[in-house]
Amino acid sequence: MSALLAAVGSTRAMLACFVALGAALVLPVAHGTWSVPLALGAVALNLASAIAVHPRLRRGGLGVFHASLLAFLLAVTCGQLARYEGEIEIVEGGAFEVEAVTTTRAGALHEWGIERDAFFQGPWTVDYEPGVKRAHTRSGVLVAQDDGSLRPQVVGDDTPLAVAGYRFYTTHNKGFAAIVTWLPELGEAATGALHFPSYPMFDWRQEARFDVPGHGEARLFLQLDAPLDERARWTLDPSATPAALVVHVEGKREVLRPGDATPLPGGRLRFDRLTGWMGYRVFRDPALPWLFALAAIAVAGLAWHVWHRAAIALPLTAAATEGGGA
Amino acid sequence: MMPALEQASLWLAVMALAAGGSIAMLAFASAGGAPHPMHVDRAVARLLGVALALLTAGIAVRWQRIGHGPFLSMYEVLASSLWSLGLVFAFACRRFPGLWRTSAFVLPVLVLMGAWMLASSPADTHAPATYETPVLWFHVVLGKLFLGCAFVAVGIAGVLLARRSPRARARLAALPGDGVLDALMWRFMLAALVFESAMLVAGAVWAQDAWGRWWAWDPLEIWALLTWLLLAGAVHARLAWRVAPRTGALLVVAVFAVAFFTFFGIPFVSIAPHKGAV
Repeated sequence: MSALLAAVGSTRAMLACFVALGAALVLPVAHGTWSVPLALGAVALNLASAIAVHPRLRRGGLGVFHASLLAFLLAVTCGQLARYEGEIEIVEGGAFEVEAVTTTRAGALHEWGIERDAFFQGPWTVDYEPGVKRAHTRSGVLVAQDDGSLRPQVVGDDTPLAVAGYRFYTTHNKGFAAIVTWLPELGEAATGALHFPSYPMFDWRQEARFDVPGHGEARLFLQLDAPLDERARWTLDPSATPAALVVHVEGKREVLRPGDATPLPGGRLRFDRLTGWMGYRVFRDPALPWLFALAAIAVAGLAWHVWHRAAIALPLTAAATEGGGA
Repeated sequence: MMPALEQASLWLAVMALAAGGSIAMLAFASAGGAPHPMHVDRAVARLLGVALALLTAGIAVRWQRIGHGPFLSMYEVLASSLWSLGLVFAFACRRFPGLWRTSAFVLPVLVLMGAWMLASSPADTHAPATYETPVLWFHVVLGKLFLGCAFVAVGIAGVLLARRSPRARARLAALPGDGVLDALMWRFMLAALVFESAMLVAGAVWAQDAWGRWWAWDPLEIWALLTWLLLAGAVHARLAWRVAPRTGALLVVAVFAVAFFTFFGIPFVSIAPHKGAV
């Protein structure tokens, strides 16, 4: 048993694990869904065996480093199981809804732990440098508190919104939204938001579709009063952007300003105002604080070990006095 | 006017490095088989000092003009790396004066990097908003220290490898024996391992806040991890099998080569957005 442990925890096995991990990372032929996790698992097994076999790896800075590294790999595994990644677009004035999140990746043990209406989207702006280079993003949100109040917060750039263990990051994905009201000939009026494609990425394709109840669909185009000037420094502020909504339906074309309405089959469509939607990346990894703490402790342990080694003076005398430097 | 001053400073810095490198190489290569005199080391040290001062001026002028540090284009990264590598080498030589004798091996690397910098586009760059965080400084400084320590170790590795030739052995006799140099070289590599590990942690913290993920296996992250694996593997191999100084020197050169490729090759051949989403 101890011979097996020694073999698994040997330097030779460690180097084999490193080579396997490296190959899984860079060689397309070795790259697969499970190749990297398997190689990392092998590294963890090698590390655990080495710690068990070599007392030296359980003492001092070296012990702190190797134990923290092993705990780090275990924490990564746990984090992956409970991890969540997704995307959501929220219109100004709208609330966070779990149902609106598009999942890109969810660990087997992930369960939603965030309430509907956990926060509300406020106004946002994005600065652009000449050449349409994105600078600062300031996204105002109102975060629901336990006592029922709403706490204002500005997120963006390096500052995510953290709510109930989930982190919301602003992205390049954001754009205009038209608030429109459908006024049917019979029945109640309904107000909603039509999201236009991401701006300025798709400034040439600001088009949305509106389903006219029982009568097919209308095509809506956003017509900004001032076209995008790529050479200028400017700020994208959807609510303050003068624009018209151009409605194409059944061969007719209507240009609506905020407050205008146009007749459509079965009712009227009113353009209330222009606003914006913000796209967020949603991230949750419950192991995140542990990962940081363990990584920091591992580095501190390694530094401690190296510092002790460096304290041992070297006989820096000329080679000639040592017999030619042999 | 300002770009001209900036360009002139950087050109003169590279010329000073080239002069220092030439003197070091000529002194090493000149016939005679005896250690070169101390005034050669002093001349190389002064020229390196002049180059560092000029690089500082050039980088400062550019920084003041465009409003951000030298982190983005190849031109900027090479300029800041010339400065940091030169500075770490100068500090190491101040601590261990015998290391000036490794100038013949390290300064040519700086001269080549300088030539590469001068051939690169000096066009102004735009720093993404995600660069305005103190974590970036930790990440960058730790990365520079990592490469700097590996760079000093490469100079020592150059001595160990050159000593295969009897003539070079005689010229480098003023330096300690192979065993001591080997130990010193690996101390610098251990320091490099500490700094690279810390750089990876700082980078993950930055990436989490900037892009919403602490690790995404983008090409630069993969190669940074490969560098770490190679460095950690080399350190373990040296400890476990007590590799000979010259074999160790080859390992050090290999680690530095991979690190160099990670720093200066991957970010500019990969289209993955590790430089900040735009």
